[in-house]
Amino acid sequence: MTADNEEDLALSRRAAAGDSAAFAMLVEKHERPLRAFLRRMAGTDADDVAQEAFIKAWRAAAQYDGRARYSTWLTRIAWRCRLDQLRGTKPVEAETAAPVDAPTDEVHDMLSRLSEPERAALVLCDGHGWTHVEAAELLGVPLGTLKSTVARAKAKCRVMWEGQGDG
Amino acid sequence: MAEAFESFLSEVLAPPTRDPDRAFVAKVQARMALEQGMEAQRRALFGKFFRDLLGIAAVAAGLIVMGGSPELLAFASESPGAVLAIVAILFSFLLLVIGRGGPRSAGAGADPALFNHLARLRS
Repeated sequence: MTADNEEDLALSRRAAAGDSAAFAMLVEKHERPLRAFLRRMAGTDADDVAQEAFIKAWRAAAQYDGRARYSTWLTRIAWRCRLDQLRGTKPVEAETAAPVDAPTDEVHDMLSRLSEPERAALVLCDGHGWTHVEAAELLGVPLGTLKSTVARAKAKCRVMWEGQGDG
Repeated sequence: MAEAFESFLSEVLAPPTRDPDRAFVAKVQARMALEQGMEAQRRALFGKFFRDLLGIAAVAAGLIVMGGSPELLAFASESPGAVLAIVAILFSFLLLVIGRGGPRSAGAGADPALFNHLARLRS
């Protein structure tokens, strides 16, 4: 177990024992990448999904055992919240996925043309440094499927990127 | 070209570098406090429900036992009006006991501010 995992495990155990300040430290530490990922997936609803995910993580704090990175465990919860959100509402238009910062409008356009799993796989593996194994676990697909999903997403983006360069 | 695309992609998809968003952390903490309050309220309501249920069951059991008594049956056949009055009084008393513990006094956790706060958070 890495030192980072140990620290997160200790905080999570304190949170499970009722220490809300310890959980606030976990939120402070992990909100940035989680919300960035969710903005790519859920657009303007990202913060609602992130809040929901943190509340679920707080309720389930005793279940975190430190084997996986805390961010992986947390993102898995957030992904389930996102799927619940998609099931509960009419399919979210891809256009609602908001850009994270200014020069990314073209990225926004690119990502909006990918399917939900393609977008998630690409953002996590190419943007957030997740391993293919971690992303496959999150999406609940075999490793080979995940690799081909990432490759397909990347190929689609590349075609669009090159098209923009030409135009 | 491929390298340029790869670096473009990883650059734009990476999480932004910034300080922790304390406002967001505060929102999550507020939601946690709210959840705790609602959980306490739920527990209080369930407790009250089971106490009421127990009370009703005890009264019903008492009535059944009393209904089996030959003296009471004789009294009921002699003066049915009095029995009806007693049953009505008992029923009113029961309603009073249950009504006293209604939603307004259910509790401990029944806090309108909690719900206003929830509405603000969700908006």
